[in-house]
Amino acid sequence: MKKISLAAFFAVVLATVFFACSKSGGGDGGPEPGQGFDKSAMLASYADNLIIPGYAALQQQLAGLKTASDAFLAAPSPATQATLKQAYTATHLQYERVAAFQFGPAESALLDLFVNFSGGLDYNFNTSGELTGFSTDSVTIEQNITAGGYNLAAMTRASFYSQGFPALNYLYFGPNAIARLNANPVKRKQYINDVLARFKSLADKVASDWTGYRASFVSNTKTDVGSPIGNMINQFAYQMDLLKGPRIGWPFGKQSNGTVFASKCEAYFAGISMALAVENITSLKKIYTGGGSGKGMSNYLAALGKQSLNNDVTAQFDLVLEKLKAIPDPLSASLVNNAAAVEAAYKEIQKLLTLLKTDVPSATGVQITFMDNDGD
Amino acid sequence: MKHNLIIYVMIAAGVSTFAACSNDNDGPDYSVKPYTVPATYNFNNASYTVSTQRVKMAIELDGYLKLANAGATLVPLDQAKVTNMFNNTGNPFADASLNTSGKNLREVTSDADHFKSYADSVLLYNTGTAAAPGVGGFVPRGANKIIVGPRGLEYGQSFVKGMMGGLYFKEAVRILTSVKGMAAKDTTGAQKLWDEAFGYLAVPADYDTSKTYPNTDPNRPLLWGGYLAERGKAIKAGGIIFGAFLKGRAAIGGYDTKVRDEQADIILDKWEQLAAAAALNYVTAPTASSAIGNYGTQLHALSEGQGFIASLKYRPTNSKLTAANYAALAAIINKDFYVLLSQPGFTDLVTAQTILKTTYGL
Repeated sequence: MKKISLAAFFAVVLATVFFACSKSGGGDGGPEPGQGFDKSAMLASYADNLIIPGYAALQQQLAGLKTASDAFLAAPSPATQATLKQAYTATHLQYERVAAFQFGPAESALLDLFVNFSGGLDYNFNTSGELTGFSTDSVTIEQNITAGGYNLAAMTRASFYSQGFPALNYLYFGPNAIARLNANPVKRKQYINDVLARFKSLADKVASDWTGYRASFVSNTKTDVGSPIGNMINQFAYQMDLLKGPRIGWPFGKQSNGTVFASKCEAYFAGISMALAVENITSLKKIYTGGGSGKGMSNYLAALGKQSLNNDVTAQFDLVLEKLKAIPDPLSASLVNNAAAVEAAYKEIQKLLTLLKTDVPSATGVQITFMDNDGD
Repeated sequence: MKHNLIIYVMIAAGVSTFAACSNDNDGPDYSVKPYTVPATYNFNNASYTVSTQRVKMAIELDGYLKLANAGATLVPLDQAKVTNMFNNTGNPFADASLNTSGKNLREVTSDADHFKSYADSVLLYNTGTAAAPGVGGFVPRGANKIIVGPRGLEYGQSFVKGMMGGLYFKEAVRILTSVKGMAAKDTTGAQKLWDEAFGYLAVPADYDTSKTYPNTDPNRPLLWGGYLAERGKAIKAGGIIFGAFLKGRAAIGGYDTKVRDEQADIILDKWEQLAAAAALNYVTAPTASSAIGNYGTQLHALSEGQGFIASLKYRPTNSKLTAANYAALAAIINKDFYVLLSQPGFTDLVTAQTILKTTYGL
């Protein structure tokens, strides 16, 4: 009798322990929720349908940009400038489609820093002076052009702000761009070509590194720090933080008691900030849903039993996009002229940020690691 | 539920042991007897007030030094106050029980003058001057600021993270190592020491790894206790260290020196790994593209890393970290931070990451 009840007791205890483990997901032998979902196939789909083709498209756009740039430099005029703007816009839009893949090869190359520096999430508009957010360091650019001997690999803010899109959109479309080019053609053209060449070499490196990186990306289905899934979910949150901060919120004055910083809009001189923001979030939604392939993060969430959260996220994506599209370019003017529309978008951005930075990481067991937020 | 299982297994094991030894009745019997491992550190005679007081002293001193970080403008600090808090002289603490405790931070800190000089350096560079390579002063960090020296070291972090090593971890190593040398019959002495070490972990008696403790919770984990969750989740530091403290403490009462010693080793091994995991995080975070170009974030992280690497100096003698690798880590993290952060590919920091990862299986 005693033996039987003891055995029964152990059975209950073991069952309870087993149950407790299974709840935490991925414990010792417990069935993992979402086990039927093929995470590796999801990652392969991302690599093959969005990431690798995305960088290939960026390389193509850069080639087109070089052609248009050469034409502009050979004969600077409003007409060649207008053609150049189309090529520039197409390239920058394509960059927005790969911006959220800032991990693995892109992170090793520090692509985002060197081609589209956002200034960092912690760099306060109120206290940190002029070079914050999506700025251009025109002083350093002009100095580089005049003095030569610049090092575009330097790891400083001045360096990040004087190359990539911040430099190109200033050099192509900034104040008196054509007159300045005519005034100092040799050195200015040299600088533009050096900036373009560096951009190309970085994009080429990321694109070619993905060939080797793909296998480890696809096979690592863990969700811990530095894992592909962990990185992707961190990037959802990071891109939303960029939207709430440097892209929209900070220029709008959200960090400066309402003082507008119009010149700190992304690609300010090209005047395409809203087009870029819309493309960034359209792409982010496409990444989240896996482009409707059935192999997206949204499907993963559903497999984890989080369909209702998934519905909230996709609906909020749509709402944010609707509100963003209601803000006309150039954003630098809309910050003042369409303040109500910007405010309305900002509200919805915050909600999507919460979903992607808190609820989705919690549902997937991913830790958000990019924040300097340890409270000390 | 897991603890219940352990308890019943213990009882079962204990009962059989007891039965086996019951014939041996000459003199006091210090053979292993049944004991239960509770789920909380509520042992009848548990007392670790002094450890807790020393934790609270460092928390108050750290809080005082951090006043300088508030806002964008200069907040002057009082050097006499810092010295008094370190030595517990002149009733410096807001918590009056600390003032009358008869204890202080200095008396149990290794390299006390060294760590004290870190605290003093916060005041030295808290001048309202903007920092730059070679110039100490403030660096903006979000809406606030940090105070750094000419090489970018945030002395407040070197101080508090260094003290976590030079006082609390070092004491835990010393105490638990000494317990391992004690006889089974010396239960009271061993329990007292065990409690003292537990107090330096600074978690509540009913610590719960699944709980998020708000900053306002007076019973929240502090210093190392806070880092169990902040940097130790991936290595399950909280559950393992707390569980081992419970089991080892119970084992002492049951004269079970084998289990006691095993738990002491588990605690020290995991505690050291926690310091390494924190150090790894802080020499990695500043190399991320989301942090690069942001000195407030980067220098702060490296300064925490410097403190946690300094903690490893006080590691147990059986540590996996060789003297040569510790020296390599120390040499890197004691370089000029502006130099470390300007290296293409962050060669030195990557070397440090590799040493920490391979040594500690992180």
